[in-house]
Amino acid sequence: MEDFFIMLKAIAVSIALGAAMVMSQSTSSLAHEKTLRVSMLYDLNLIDPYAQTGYLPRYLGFMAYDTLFSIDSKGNIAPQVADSWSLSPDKLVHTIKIRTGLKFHDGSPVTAADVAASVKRALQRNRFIHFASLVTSVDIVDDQTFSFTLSREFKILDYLANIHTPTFIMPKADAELPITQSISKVNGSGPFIFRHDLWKPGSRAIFDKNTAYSPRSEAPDFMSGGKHVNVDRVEWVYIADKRTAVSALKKGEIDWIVSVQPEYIADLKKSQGVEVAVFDDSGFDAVLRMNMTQPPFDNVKIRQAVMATVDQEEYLGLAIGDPEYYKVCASYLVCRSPWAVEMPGATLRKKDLPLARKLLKEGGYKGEKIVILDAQDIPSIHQYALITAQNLRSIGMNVEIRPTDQATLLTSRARRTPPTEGGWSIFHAASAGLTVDTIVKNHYLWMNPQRAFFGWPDNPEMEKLRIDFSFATDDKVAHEINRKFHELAWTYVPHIPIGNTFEASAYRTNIKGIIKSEVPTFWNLTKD
Amino acid sequence: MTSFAPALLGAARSLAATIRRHPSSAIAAAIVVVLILAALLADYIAPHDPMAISGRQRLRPPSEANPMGTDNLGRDVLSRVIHGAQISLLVGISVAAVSTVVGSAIGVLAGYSRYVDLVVMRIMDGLMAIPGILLAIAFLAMFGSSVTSVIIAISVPDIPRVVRLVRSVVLSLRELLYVESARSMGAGPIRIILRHILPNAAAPILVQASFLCASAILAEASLGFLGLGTPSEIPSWGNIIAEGRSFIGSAPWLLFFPALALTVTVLAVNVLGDGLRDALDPRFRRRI
Amino acid sequence: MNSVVYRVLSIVPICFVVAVVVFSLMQMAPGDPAAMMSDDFASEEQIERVRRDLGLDQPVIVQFSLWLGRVLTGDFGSSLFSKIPVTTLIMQRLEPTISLAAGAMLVAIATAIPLGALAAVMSHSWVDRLVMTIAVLGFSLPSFVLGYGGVWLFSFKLDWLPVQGYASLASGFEPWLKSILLPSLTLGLISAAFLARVTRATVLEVLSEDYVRTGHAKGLAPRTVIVLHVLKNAAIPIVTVIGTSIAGLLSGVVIVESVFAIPGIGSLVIDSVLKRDYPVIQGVILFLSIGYVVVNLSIDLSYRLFDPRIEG
Repeated sequence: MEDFFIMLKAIAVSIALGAAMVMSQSTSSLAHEKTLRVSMLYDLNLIDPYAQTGYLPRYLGFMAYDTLFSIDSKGNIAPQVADSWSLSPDKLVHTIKIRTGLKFHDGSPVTAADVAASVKRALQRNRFIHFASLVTSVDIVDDQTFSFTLSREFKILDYLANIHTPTFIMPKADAELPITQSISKVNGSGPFIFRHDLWKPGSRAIFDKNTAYSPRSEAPDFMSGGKHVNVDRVEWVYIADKRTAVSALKKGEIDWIVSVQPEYIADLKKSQGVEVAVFDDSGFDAVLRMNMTQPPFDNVKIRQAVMATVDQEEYLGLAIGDPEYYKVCASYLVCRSPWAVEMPGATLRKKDLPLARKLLKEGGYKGEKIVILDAQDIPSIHQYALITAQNLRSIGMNVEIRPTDQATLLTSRARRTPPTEGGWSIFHAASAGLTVDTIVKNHYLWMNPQRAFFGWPDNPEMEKLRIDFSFATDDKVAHEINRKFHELAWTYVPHIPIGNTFEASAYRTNIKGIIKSEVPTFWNLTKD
Repeated sequence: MTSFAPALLGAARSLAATIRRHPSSAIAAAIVVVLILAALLADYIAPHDPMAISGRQRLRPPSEANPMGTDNLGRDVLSRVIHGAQISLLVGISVAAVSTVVGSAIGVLAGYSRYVDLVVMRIMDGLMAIPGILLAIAFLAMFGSSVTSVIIAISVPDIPRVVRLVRSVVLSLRELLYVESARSMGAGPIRIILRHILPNAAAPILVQASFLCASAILAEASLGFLGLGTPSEIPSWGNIIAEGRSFIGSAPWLLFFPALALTVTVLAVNVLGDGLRDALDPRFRRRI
Repeated sequence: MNSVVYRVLSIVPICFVVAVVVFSLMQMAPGDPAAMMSDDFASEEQIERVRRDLGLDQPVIVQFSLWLGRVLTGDFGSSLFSKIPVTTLIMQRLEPTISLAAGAMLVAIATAIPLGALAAVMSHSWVDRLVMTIAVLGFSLPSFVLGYGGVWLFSFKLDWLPVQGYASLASGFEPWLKSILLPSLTLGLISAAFLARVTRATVLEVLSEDYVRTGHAKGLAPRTVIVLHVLKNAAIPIVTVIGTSIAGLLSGVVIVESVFAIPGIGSLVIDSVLKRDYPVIQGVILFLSIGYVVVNLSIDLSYRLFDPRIEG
């Protein structure tokens, strides 16, 4: 009789399995001969291309949507959906004509009305300055042409073309959704079609080649030019255990790891059939941010003391290791930017502990507790936190490391309470270089405490220089403003630059023609 | 004074006999004693500061100065493993203690009162139905990561298991003659529990506690592996392993030594638990 | 029959307890999903609006009853991020996890029961000692160490199996089996260690009982005695242990899914905890717990229905 129970259980298990088989959608990729499997650092969990948590929604944007303008490898503005454009003599009215014959993924044509609505959404999402208020009207001229009028002259196309908040061309209905409401269905205009039906958050996202897409005739150059797709399908796989992702690449089970964490580089460089490269020359800008509204870092002297303990080489050498993938950069802007100004002397390149102790004394440090937020799930950020703690302790500061994860850090850093009451003193972060390459864009340099980034610096003089810079049309004037701003920053210390890091990317040698860009691109490349 | 030496000799002799009869338990006990000593004396025997970061010492293979090599921040792995024993044993012993004490209290109550039993056992069934590690993960999300919250997170899912064991022992003891007679002689329930039931239930509870200790040490490492354990500033074995696995290809010593320490420790505690069971109560020999 | 009804009804309070525990845990957790969904530059008011849209501004008790009410009608809600219904997310992840759990169970049963029985029959011999030593070692090894070791051996040195991922049955039996083999072995051998000890203990107990001795007296060969009587009588306790060990197996699944990048239920939970995706965490834990309760209930009931010796 008892054997019966075992059998019963076996039957139950097989029924369950069978049911699961029937339920599982057929995601067989056998039918697609050319599937590119790419391991992304994070998981795609939001599909609104303007969603700003993590980089993946924007990467999705570049696959599924075309942009109005783009930039080439020299930073020049290049047209994408735009065909031609002109500027009125008073430099206030821009008229843009779009290419003909473009279609959305559902087959409907791309019209000037869609593009105009998309521009409005992009301007609203643009975070650098409230540009939307400077555009007084947007008018549809005909099916292929529209224009917009500005209240004062500024380089609006630079902001429409930037690759951080680009102008993704979407249907009017989507573009006109309230700005707080995210887009829940991707009906794009780009070279890939996002397969919502096959999307498994936390595991994979699938993009099929858009056969109806008509690429531009120019050769591809950075984010501009013709986007010719040579694979049938791109699969973004999310492998939480990075060790496993590295093994999978070595075995050829995946084709490309877009961001390889530093600790795996040495291993991958030795592997056969694997190439390691840097595709994003701008790199990331790592910073140490202090809470300037709470003691002791409300005191400039104490912020300067912390700066004197920093040797960028120490941070970068320990967290990154291989010097090919970092660069000491004693500037408030990422060093690749033409606007970067390096600090004079040995600051940030060499520790000066006697000076640090002296500044600490002058600042009247009374042993207040320093709370360092430590996002343990991000290795480099975690290591920066440990190094800072050791440095501050070495000059006699009272340091507590508060372990947390990225999800919690995002909420805790918004807290303005004293460190002893759940607030914070220091966090570390890194931003993509192109998002912080001018004093207008770099959010750590916003100096109006009401609108500033967490840490809340307050310096009206510097804030005024930022605004002047955004409207400067003459390059010489702009450079002058920029230099003055940097000089003030060196003594005010809104944050402490830790240096630039470069993300390694590793791919199988049978993948050829990957475009060098900050955003991973999946057109142009071929898979043998 | 004169009777002391023979007594000592006798003790030594019986110890030797025990070792001869149960060599594996003896080895396990020796390992556990060494580990406890290492943990207690970590500050004195560790050759370096386990937290000292040094750029010049990065990823050194095992050598005379660093017998287990150094990690990616230039910290000495041997010192970290020695200090890690502190955390692992602290977690293991605390979890065993917390879940045993709390579980026994609830179990005795449940075994003694039908009404308490009815309510408590439903709650225990509910807790048992949630996979332990998920409950632990949820707890850690709630309390944030610290050694204390790791101990609580691992203990909570273990409590129902202790409750069940203790309750069943109490139920079987209740009906026994000497408890009956104690009751008929007018002893109060507390007195009966303390005098008659607990001493008799001690053996299975102690055996269970040793296994809980072993599994807690493993659980701490597993949570560390998932990145959800003790704060990663603390050199616990789970954290050292979690950080070390990234370097399997280039610096295998980062994973090997802490994993070895972990496995040997858990093995020793388990073997000791087996020995304890055999020694304390032959009746329990047949149960698991 | 009344006792059957009683048993079935008794899962209601269990599930309620699970629901309360799961819900209150998530409510007390720090980290705000509204802030995670808003971008880095969102103002306090914008975050507040998101929170209102999600219903997170309501009193906890209201949120709980609303949630419970929906759950009772089979609506587990949707992910705060992807907006995909929790039931769909669970369905997407069910096949890998069931395959892994069933595979592991199969490995465990196929190795543990014969070895455990053998150890019992030959108790105190070197075979017994060897089997038991391996068993203790088996549950002293962290599963991720075993997993990485397996990858090193079978994927890199021998090149037999893939290192990660899951191939669904729909893509063919062979790829499926290959993708599931190493994870199942990793998880199965750890469960086997425990099961082997239970089997040995149970068989030892049965061996000492009267009817076995009678069997010997009747002149039946020892092997026949074992197969016919012993395993038959040892089956109930063993099957019970298998049932209760499913919860432990699920804990192992979480780790093994992470090591082998298998998109199953375990990795779904870890992801959602890190993102504070409350509806998903609640839904999955509730789903797993109810699954566990139901499996054990059916094992339990099957004894009662078919074996009159067991009373309610």
